[in-house]
Amino acid sequence: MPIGVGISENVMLSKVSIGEKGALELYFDEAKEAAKANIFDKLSTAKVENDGNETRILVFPFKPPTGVRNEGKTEDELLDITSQDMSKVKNQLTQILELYLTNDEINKTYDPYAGTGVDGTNYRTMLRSEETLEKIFSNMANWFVDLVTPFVGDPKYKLRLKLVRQSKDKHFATLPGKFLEQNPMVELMDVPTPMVKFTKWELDNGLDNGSPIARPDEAAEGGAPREGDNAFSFGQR
Amino acid sequence: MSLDFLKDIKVDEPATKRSGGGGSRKPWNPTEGLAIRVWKDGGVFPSETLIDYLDLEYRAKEAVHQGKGLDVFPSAQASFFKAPKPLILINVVDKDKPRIDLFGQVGYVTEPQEGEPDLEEDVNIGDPLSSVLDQGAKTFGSKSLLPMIKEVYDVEPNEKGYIDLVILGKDGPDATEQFALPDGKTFCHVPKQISRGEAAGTPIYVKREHPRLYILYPATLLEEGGKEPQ
Repeated sequence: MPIGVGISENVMLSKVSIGEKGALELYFDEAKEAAKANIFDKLSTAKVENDGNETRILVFPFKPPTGVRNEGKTEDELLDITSQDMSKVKNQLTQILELYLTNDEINKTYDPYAGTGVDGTNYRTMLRSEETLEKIFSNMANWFVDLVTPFVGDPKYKLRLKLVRQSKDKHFATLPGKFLEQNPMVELMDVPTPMVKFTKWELDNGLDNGSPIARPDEAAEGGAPREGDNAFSFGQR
Repeated sequence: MSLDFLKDIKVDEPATKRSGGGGSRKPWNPTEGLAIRVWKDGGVFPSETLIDYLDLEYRAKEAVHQGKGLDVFPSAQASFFKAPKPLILINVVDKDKPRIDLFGQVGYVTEPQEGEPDLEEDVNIGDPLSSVLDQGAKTFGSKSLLPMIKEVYDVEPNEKGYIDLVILGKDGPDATEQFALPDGKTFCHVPKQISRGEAAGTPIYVKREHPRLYILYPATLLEEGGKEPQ
């Protein structure tokens, strides 16, 4: 069964890639040696085969805050939103890398601003540019893939992984994004006392529940959701 | 008690040779070797030799290099350390790391407030308020270390009111060979407890990179078994 919302044990990071549109794709699967059947054996028996239980989690490139909910915000407020997005991804990727590497190994090649021209004097302007943000994300994604690749698919690194519900509306699984130091989203199974747990806030807000929930208007009227209805979303721009 | 068990412990990496030192110290510190004295009130005092060897002394607040502190924990809670009998382990860690058990924190000299006397001639703002030699660390000593020594070694303070613990490396009391992780591993998780708040007492584990591991062993048990490792 694919890994979903909840806490999964004895899983591994089975694959990582950068998709066509620049999103970082993380695949998680049960931590076991894959049984490699050859084509002759596979066709010899008429049986529906499981194509894989991998769960794919997407991490999307940064974008400048836009849309109705961000109209009227000051430059500082918009910069703060961008900063939070970037910090969230940095923390998520760093926590995964810390499963396999020491901090000096992780930081040795970390250079998110490489090739962007961003520095301490111009970042307030530069970080409003979609092109700059995409480049920063690309730097982080490539840094992550380069460091983590030697460990990907190795069942020796068994993990305890927490995936949360995206929002009240969207039941799909995603990586937690806040307070990861105190409430880690992933740890090695070697750690005898688990620290990966749902927080009270996550439980109170139903983020441990991966069940699709019918929207109130669908349930009452049997109709499709209307554009613009998004009353209960979390952390979305 | 024999030190044969040292041969059966699996882990390793060479350490720097200890510096010379020792000599007469205040009565509450051990005077010889790489040792820690734990008093019945929980006060924990290292030998001068140990301070030099493990770089434990406190520095000025703004100093770039701050020295080391110690994690202290039972081997039974460290799944990476396989020993034929229960032991107490120490890990030598940079003082800027969180949750250090011994010699990790000190107060510093501040600007005298109105009405307070001026600083003495050789005292500067930012100097540590005490030396690791006489700081004491009573909280950890009384709440954690004394109970741990009792549980692991069944040893209590002697008639003079203290227990001396010696540092053992893979080679014994000289401790020139620390225990290190196998298979090229560069970090481990050491056990701690949350010390404050609602979750006080909850066991947790913290990641420690490039650990330097030694055994903390009662001197009385060492004397019973002879000083040289078997």
